[in-house]
Amino acid sequence: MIETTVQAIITGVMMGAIYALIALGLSIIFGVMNVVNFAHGDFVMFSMYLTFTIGTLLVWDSVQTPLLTVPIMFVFGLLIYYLIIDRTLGQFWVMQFAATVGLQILMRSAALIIWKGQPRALQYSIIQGSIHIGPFTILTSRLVAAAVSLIVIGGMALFLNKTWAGAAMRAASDDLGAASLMGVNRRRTYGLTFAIGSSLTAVAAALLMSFQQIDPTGGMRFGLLSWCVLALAGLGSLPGLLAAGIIVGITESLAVSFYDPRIRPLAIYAIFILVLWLRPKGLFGRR
Amino acid sequence: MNSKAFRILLTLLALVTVVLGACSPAPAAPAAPAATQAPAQKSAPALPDEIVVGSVQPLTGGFAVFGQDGKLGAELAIQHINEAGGIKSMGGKKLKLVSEDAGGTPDTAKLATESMISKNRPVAILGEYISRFVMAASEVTDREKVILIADALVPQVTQMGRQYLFRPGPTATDHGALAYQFLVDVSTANGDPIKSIAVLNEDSANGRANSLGAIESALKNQMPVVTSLEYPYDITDATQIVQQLAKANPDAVIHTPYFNDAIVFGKAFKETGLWPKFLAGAGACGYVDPESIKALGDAAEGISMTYSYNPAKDTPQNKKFVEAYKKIKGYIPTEGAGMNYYGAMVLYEALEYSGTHFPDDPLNPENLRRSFLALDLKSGPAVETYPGPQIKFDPLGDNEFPGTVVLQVQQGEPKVVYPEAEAEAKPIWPNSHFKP
Repeated sequence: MIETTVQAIITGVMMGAIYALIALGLSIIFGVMNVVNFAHGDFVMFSMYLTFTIGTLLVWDSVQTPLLTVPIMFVFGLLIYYLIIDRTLGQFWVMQFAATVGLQILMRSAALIIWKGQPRALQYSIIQGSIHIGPFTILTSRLVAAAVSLIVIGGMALFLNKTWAGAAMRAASDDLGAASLMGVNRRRTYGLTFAIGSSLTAVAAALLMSFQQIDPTGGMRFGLLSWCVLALAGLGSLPGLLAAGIIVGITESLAVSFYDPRIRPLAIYAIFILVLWLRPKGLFGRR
Repeated sequence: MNSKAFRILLTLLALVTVVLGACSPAPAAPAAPAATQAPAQKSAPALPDEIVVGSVQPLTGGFAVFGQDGKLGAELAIQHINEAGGIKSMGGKKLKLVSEDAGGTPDTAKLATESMISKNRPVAILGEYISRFVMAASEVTDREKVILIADALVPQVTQMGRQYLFRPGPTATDHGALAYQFLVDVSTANGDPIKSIAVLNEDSANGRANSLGAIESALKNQMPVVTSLEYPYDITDATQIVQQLAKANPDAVIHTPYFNDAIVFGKAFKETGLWPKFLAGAGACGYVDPESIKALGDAAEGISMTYSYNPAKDTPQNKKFVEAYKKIKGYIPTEGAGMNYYGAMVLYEALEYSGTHFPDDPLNPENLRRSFLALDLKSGPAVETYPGPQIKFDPLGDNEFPGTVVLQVQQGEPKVVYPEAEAEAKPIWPNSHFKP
């Protein structure tokens, strides 16, 4: 009993940190731009396929691929921002909704055409393996992924707090009108935000592909998961995002261990609904 | 144009579309069936130039990997039938295959079947691989009196009272039972007889039916089943389940996955190192097909899987099929491809029979149905590609002589290893990753 609980918590904490990283891009985009990106999960899916392709073509390990996938997703994010998102800002919210849902369908269909309906996985990653401590198993891929997630989230916090671009993003998030008067260029700041949000999915993808596979509908899972983590965390707090990810991770891990693997989505969405009901701004939200 | 005028124009356009849509007759539906549905005794309707056969398979979505293979299997069979002179009892009439995408849900499968029948009016449909798709589609095929040659495994598929549904292949229960028997035989042959098993399956009707087949066989032989676990097929992390399995400590695990989850589990076994002494797959999906081996790499080595098709069967027809398939795909036919190939060959035999015994109206659905029920095949192209010695349908539409074989991944290649009479290689026991 205690053994199972401890094991579930170990697994849950590690997965939770990765979940926080997956939700990070969504959180930043939603927080700064107030754009609800329904295609976020599909950005993760797309990044995972990119990771697969680069890993296969160049015979790179999954964890090396961000060297290429991060810049690619950054440019992709910029393009999507200027070609689609920018034109919907300031319009009736339904426009953004339609644009990002459309983008979701577009990306899913593109993935189906490019990579076919088959799930793809990389055979091997240097971070695969396990450490056995007494009765407990720690998977090194999850451990490394969790550590990288922590570093990336910490780095993001530093970027937002210590750099001018980060300050501009926070300012635009708090009061776009005032920020504009202080010399913050709205389009450039938003473009940068969207591109960063997009490239963060490439980091998450590299970690995920070290132990998972991807198929064209995989974006749905990551999208819903991100929304759940974000709702729990609320906007504007990166440590809160991490905590929310870990809460989700531990909850699903305990539910799977003590009840049934099929309970996982139910456990996650029960949290989602509870939070929306009891504390709509999230556990750690600034607003 | 001002906006008001534009709106009026749009409204008008919409109205015209709706009215036209409602008035136009359902294309092709009334003309063709009138001929085929005529009672058998009346004057013979002229045969069409080509006999249309449908293939409805999941070509997109999570099951596409199976559907694509199934479609290719059917295509090759039709091509081979035509090259060999078509349906001789009908004056060498050629077959023509038309295809439709069943999508990813039973609803889309049903719609695809409706669309296939209204557009093409095929004499038979091959498909739709996923049992719940077949169950939904068979409602349409039975209503429209179109033969459905199912390549799905769940036993209940043929227990719904459908008149026009036939399944040449084995059921999921047969698969589960064979996986168990294989474990017992191969472990005993290696002087290391198993003393317990665990069963694991994705939670669809197919997964459960496979596991039940294995559990029934185990219980009959008083073999302890130490644990039985189910999980959703879109599972993303299996480490906890693998840990639970390791705790239960069975000698062997019988696992019924689909494609995605097989990769998730293979990776989880590899990463945790918690391999059972033997991992035997059941239900023909995942682990041993080329895509799974590619995705799993070394982790696939030694895993076995039951199959409703024997790619190693040493007959001229099967060799021809394997060669043609390999030329296109670069690897041997998967189960879906094989089942559709012999499914189409069974249809060929039934058409020949109908042409001989009902020459007045061989394509009449009732005559065709009778022909299927009258078949008792011990030779010919269908049996040559079937993993058993005989094909004869019972009144429910199931084959009375279901055949199943076991494949094992050996040095990155799927090899038929069981039953011994059908095998091309000796099974390797235990799994090389297993650490006692």
